[in-house]
Amino acid sequence: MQATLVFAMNCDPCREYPSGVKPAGTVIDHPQAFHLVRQGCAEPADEQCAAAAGVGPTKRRELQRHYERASRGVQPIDFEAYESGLMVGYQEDGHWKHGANWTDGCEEEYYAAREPEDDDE
Amino acid sequence: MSITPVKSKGTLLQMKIATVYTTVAGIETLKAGEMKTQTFNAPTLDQTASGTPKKPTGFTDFGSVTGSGFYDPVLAGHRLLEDLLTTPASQDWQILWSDTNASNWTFTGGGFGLTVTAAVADGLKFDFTIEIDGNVTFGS
Repeated sequence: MQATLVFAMNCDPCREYPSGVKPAGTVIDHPQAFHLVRQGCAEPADEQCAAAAGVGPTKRRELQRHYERASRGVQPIDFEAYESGLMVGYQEDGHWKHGANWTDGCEEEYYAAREPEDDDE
Repeated sequence: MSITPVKSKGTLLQMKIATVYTTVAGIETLKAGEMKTQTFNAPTLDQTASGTPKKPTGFTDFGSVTGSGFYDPVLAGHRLLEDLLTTPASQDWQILWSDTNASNWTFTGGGFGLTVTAAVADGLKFDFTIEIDGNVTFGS
């Protein structure tokens, strides 16, 4: 059963992949390969895998988008920012890595809009 | 020499499936360890110091990895966690820290525990425990 990785993924370092990374496009031939398709990491590379995964193309694209978000460590509070293209992950200092729609000050505005309201009466 | 604090944001827990490590989505907290070398007490009647000598047995208990996060019962990655309960098996894991070298710890889980909590004032959440089987490999 074969699936093709859609992202570069970590593996145990070995002779073929000494850096411990299998690049996107690598074909995984494994009885559990369909799980990678269900998780949004891979596309089925044969009929057996497609049947076992049981996930259509539209759902696969959605799963892949969600997997990419998870693999970038995006926190739930930032999901909306990720989905709207403001950010694609985090810099070393914890601030956003800029997305295609990032604008000056958007990160501050985003969090300000989500601050809990003062419930003093 | 000064330490550069590493942010927690971006830390990943990954489980090995079909030869590659896949990220477990929705993790909020992760606590790895309570690792401890094993010792035995070795006091003798003729020792002069009052303190109890402790000597290494040569074994280390690497403890467990615990954590919590948001739970999605239909998410394939979370269904695989349920599979570990219905079909207990050893499972390889990796923690990827968010430092510049992307340091990692890899280990095998011999046991797995899952608690899911639904609460009025919160989203559906889960707590998990992975009991470490053998050694942790501290990679960089």
